[in-house]
Amino acid sequence: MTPDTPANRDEALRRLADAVGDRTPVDWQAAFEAIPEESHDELRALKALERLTRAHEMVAEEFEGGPAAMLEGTTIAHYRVIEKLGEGGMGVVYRARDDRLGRDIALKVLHPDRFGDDSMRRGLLREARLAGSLNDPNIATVYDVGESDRYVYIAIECVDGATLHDLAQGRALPTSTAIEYGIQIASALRAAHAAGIVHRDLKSRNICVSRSGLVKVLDFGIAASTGRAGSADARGAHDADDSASPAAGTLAYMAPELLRGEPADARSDIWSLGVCLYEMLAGARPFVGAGAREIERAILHADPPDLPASVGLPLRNVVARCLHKEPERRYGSAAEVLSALKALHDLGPGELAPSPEPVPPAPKPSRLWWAWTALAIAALVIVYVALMGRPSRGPAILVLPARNESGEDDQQYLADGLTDQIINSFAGLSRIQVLSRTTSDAVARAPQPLPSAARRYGFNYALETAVVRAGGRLRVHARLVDARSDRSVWVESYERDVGQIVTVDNEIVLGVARRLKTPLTSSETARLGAARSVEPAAFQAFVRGRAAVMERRYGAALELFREAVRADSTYASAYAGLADGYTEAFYYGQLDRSEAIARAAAAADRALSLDSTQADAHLAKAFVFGVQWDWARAVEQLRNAEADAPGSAQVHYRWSFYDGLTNRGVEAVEEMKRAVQLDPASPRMASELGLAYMNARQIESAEQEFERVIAWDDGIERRRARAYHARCLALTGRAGKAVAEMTASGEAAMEVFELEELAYLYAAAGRDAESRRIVEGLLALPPGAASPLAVAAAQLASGSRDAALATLQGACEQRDPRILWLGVDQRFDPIRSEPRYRAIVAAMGLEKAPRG
Amino acid sequence: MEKTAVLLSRIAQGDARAQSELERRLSPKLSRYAHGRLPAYARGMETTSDLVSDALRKSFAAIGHFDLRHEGAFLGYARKALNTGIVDAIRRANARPKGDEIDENLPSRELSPIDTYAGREFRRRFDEALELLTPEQHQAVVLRLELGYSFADVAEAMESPSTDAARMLVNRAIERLAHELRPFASDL
Repeated sequence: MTPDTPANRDEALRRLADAVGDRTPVDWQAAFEAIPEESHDELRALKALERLTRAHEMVAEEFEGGPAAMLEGTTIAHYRVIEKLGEGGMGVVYRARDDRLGRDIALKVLHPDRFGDDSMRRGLLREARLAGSLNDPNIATVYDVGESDRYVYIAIECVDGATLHDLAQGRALPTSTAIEYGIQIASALRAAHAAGIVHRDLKSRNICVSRSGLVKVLDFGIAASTGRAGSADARGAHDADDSASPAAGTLAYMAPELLRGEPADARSDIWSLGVCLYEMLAGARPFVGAGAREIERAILHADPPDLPASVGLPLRNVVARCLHKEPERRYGSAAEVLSALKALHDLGPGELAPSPEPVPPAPKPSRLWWAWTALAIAALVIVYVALMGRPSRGPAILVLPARNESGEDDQQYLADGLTDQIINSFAGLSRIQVLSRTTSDAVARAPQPLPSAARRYGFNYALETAVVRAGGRLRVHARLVDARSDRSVWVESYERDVGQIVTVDNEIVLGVARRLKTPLTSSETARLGAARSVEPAAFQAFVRGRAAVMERRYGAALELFREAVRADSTYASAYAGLADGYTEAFYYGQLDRSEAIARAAAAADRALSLDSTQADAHLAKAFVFGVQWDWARAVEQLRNAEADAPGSAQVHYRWSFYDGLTNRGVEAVEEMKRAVQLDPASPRMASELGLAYMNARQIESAEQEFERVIAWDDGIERRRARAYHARCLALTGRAGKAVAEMTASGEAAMEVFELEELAYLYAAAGRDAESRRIVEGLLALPPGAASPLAVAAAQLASGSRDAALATLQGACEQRDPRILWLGVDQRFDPIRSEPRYRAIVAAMGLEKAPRG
Repeated sequence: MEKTAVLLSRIAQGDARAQSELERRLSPKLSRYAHGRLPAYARGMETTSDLVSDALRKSFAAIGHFDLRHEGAFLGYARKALNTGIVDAIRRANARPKGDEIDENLPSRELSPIDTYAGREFRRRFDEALELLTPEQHQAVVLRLELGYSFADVAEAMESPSTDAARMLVNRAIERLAHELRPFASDL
């Protein structure tokens, strides 16, 4: 019966529930194919219940003795067990003698009872036999698979050599050796994936190297078989393999998606290959910790410590791409890894040498390399410790744009303002995550089923609100919806005076926190309870000012914030907005810089005197101190902002900015990733992540991020991303292509920032005359319009070293904030040892700036 | 062999021998369950049997206060008491310093065997969903899925009229559980 009607479908599900209860085997693949997709969630739940039942059975058997592990001296089939070689999660490995053929083999004896019913055992045998059909010189041959008495056994080729684990334990292998072994492992994976077999437990202990240097990968298909029945397509294994238990692999080699409970596919093997490559190159695994929890956290959240200085950039990039946290950012297949490694192999040792780092050369470069590696590791540890110290982030909420149900368009500001206020209030909580306004708007603009949006943007609940104004009174309805089930879990209504709209948002946030049983700190509760009413006219101007900021209309934003404070001189948020607007005006040179910075400082101070928890005001003050190169006080303000709004994408973005400036690229990337997580629909945040990667010299990742924005956005961020993407190309020796990409639609319609980039690209491509022509045009613009950093980069690339240094010197004297990136911008590598350059960097004080 | 319900009735009247007999009868089942729920690192400070004894002691004390007239109800209560003890044991284990480095060949020492095989998140969701069932469904699922009872044993433990009725009770409870777990299925 095809369950093509609801009644039939219910009946089919009922029969499956019966099968789970009866403990009779279920062909899940057939069930998923037969039952319509809208019921797949129920199917998955039933399948998970079956797994739980099986788990209890396995534990019971284990508890009551289970299969014996001591088989020495016995005979299994025609194999005489000689000695135990090792034991893993799935069975025991023995050296055994095949008396019929007179050869030694490795005999893996699995615990048959662990595989539950016959169908699972048959699945294991089928997978093991399939693996046995693999014929690749780098895969250990499976001679025989079978059952004998209580045992399921696999007879495998005995490799006379050492495991990769033994070879790389505590010492790095020579780069060329690591590449050679990596090529052989990738080759083995390519063959297996082509046959539809995913390893799922690739690790250095599963890789043997013979005395002649031949690599043999062991145990293909075995881990997969114990986690599921059925085969897996190389890329699409996740379709069939949703039952995979994370525990089926070995923790230190497991890809992040497996830890998240997602299915394994070929890309999970590529991650494990990355771990093995890293292990060979560093002599240690990339993700370590004192216990499983720490290792899991490192795998999920931390970047691995830098590889040794002897490892060149191209090889680092290969490892980094294998170890990308997101599977889709890794190599798409083992064949691609193989090709990349072969290309490196062909380069030879000279070209594999490390590339320059963003530090001035010193008399003893090798020692300095170590110092910087140590610093990088220390920085990573600090980030790691910081992550560990953070409280659990709790549920993620999307605040949908409030609906204006007043029947009058001019009341829309109330709805817009309420949305912003609610998001800001949530951002002040440490145990609830809130997605940013950009993402709320994106979800609202593209209607889709809530569960789909939840999966895409990563939230658990959606908060819907509606505002109705009747004269001076306001009614607000709020509804919290479980995003996965699309069911309401909380509903509340509030009726207040219009001026109290800034208190309603806090009441809503408190109500949601209570419903979700999320504990609040005393300061969070106090902050939510401290809101005061505001003049409606001030609120309206403030909301419009915020909208102008979102649209980067800073002049209009300043005017509206001024209007707001005129209407209500005690409105702290409006002063904070004003301070923020002045900092933007300063950065983009729209006001006299000294005037802008003084006004920003005054507005921020006023905001904080009215309400010391205004995160935006702290951020503005951080900026003010930053442009005064007072880094200690800037960091203090950033910390204050983070304390007041730990869930604010802006706060993480500013931390990333600071970390990037101060040459803490790893931290900058991490902070920016967090910002993107909180504002996943913002192309600007994505561009900034690309920049963080670029400044951290992870060019390949930067390219990918910019490519994502180019494919996604159709506005100014697309143009920014395209310019930065072109720079990535130029920085990696593809300046010609960069110029072609940048000039595809002509120079005439270019913005200043695009011309700035093009000037550098031309110079990098050796087209100095065209570069100089653009630079001359940029210098002819009104003072402050062109970035001195960009001009200097173009000048330097075209060989005008003195002109470049003079440009930088002038900007330094004017304290132009755009040259703050000088210390990390790769384009300035050629002058790192130049005393004038060093003097400028020293003057900015960034080298001694405190850690965040 | 006296039925569990009879023993429970005698225990309610203060019969120590009945209590001892029931403890002897149920301890292995609960020990097996506790073994599955306790991570390796949390074992050792106190044995599984200590936890089981403690849970049974609390459950015996509850007989006069709750409707624990048959084995299903009693085991359902004991399971909750045991879970509380397990959580406390894990907390105590977490509080003491961990010395040795993790053995990379073990899938994870942080996870209990059940969490290792079935997934920690799912097991947590399962526990939550269990609370949404009727007490009878809840008890039947515990007996069948977690303690491995046959349908005939479930029928006896639940005082169901027949094995078929017990089977129906268990399987409809599984259907309901699947429905309750549906919102989290993408995480499973």
